[in-house]
Amino acid sequence: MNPDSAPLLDPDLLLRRLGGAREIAQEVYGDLAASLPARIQECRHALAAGDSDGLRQALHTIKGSAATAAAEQVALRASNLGVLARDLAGNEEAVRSALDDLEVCVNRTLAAAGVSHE
Amino acid sequence: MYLSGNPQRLLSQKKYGIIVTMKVLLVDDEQVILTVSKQALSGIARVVDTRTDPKDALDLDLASYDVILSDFYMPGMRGDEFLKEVRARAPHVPFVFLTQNEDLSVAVELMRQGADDYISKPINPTNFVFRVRKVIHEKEQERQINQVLEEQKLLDLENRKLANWRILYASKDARQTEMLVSNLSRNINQAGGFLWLDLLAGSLQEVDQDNYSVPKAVMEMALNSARNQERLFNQVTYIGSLEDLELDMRSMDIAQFHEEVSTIVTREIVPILGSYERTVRWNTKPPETPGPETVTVDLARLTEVLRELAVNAIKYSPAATPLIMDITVQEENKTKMVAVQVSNIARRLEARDDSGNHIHGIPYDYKELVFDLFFTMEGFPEYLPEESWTDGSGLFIARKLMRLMGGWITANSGVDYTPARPQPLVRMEVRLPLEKPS
Repeated sequence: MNPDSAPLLDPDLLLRRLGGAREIAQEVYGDLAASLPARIQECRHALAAGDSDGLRQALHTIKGSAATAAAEQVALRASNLGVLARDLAGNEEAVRSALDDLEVCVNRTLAAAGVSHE
Repeated sequence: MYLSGNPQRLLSQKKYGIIVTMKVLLVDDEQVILTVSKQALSGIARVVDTRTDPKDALDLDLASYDVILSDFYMPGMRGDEFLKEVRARAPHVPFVFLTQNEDLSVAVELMRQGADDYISKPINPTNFVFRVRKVIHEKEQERQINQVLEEQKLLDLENRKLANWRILYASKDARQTEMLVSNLSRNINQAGGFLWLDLLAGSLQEVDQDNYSVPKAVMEMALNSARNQERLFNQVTYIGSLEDLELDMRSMDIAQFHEEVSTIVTREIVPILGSYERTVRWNTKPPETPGPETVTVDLARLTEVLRELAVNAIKYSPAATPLIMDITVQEENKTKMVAVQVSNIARRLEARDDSGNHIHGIPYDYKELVFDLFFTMEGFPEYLPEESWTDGSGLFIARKLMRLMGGWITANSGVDYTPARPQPLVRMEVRLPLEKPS
């Protein structure tokens, strides 16, 4: 699925998951803001070290958190990037570019959630 | 409504008045997952503890949780390692993995390793709560089934024990018969068996047409042997006739009963004991009875029983020691009864127990055995002329008589603390039920 065709955030889905507890939704967004940028940095370190497993593990975590918080685009991009990162050798540029896109998407998502770390 | 079998949990359920009963531990390195999962469980869980590091979780009292939910990929400790540690600390607590969809093969492997279930992320709250409750319910059912199986095992064990007892009793009956035969033959042979018959026949000297002469020694030996044999066969005949014994049963209150037993002690027991230079310590004060209950008894048969116990006491106590007698009112299994206690200081017997030690009094194993027909504590017991029933039949007959009167006799060992130096006691207790007057 093309990430761009998915909503950046689906607050209604998250609210349904939380039984309508808006204050908890805000807490979840806060958790995302505390987690995702750090995970992106983990991805960059792993990529620089050529550590495919470490990269995929970090992406896996990003995908899990984002999917749980109904941050659809981040979840899809992290998932696609995880597939791409299986074969890292000779593929670093494509992965780096996709990682850049993912970081941008993360920042947009956090901004949309009102918890931008910038 | 989910009900745990744990009373503490049921108690907390009552306390809170709602279905918030569970205590849950969530372990995931992602705070987002913890926050959402915790919120989903808030409707059914009393406590939701969260940890982002499984190593921190291991410091908790894991057995106190109703369920533990854990991520698999966590830095520092993977889910399978965490599961292993949890199983070592809390083997019965349900363990559920939270996995992402692509980890299904991992999840299946984890269930092989002892996880109870897995739930895919991102969680769907309805499904999530349903699965968590289901896994707890299944675990509780498993526990109950295991409990039933354990109880079944115990029951089987009890049945096997019972079967063993039956075999034991069957062999005991056979042993008793063997003892009877052995005792009869031993006594007969002790008296020369039926040799006396041959000797008598061979010693006969015809004096005239109407008379034989027999050497005096042969005649005395023959008579003695025949009397011993007669005694034994009379014993067997008497035991056989007990079932048809007619009893002269009389009802009386406790005070009257005490008076009647006092008479038996004075007229029957004291003279026997006196001839062996023994005394009786008889409690002349009747027991206090709160109610107007009566006891029904054949006094003549009770006299026989008490005589038998007194003679036994003389045989199995050291010289010059007293016989201690008392009447008490007791209650056992909601049945009130009056008991005549006949106690004597226990003497050391020649017989030895399995460890080779001399037997003192009546060992626990022998408490019932002493009432077996033809059972004697000593291989060659002493005979006293005052004995009505001999050769190991005395206590058997005494108990049988008491049973015919609706009573019983028990044998126990105890300690007499009245002298300065406490002494081991043998206590026979003749029990009769007390009845309320109609």
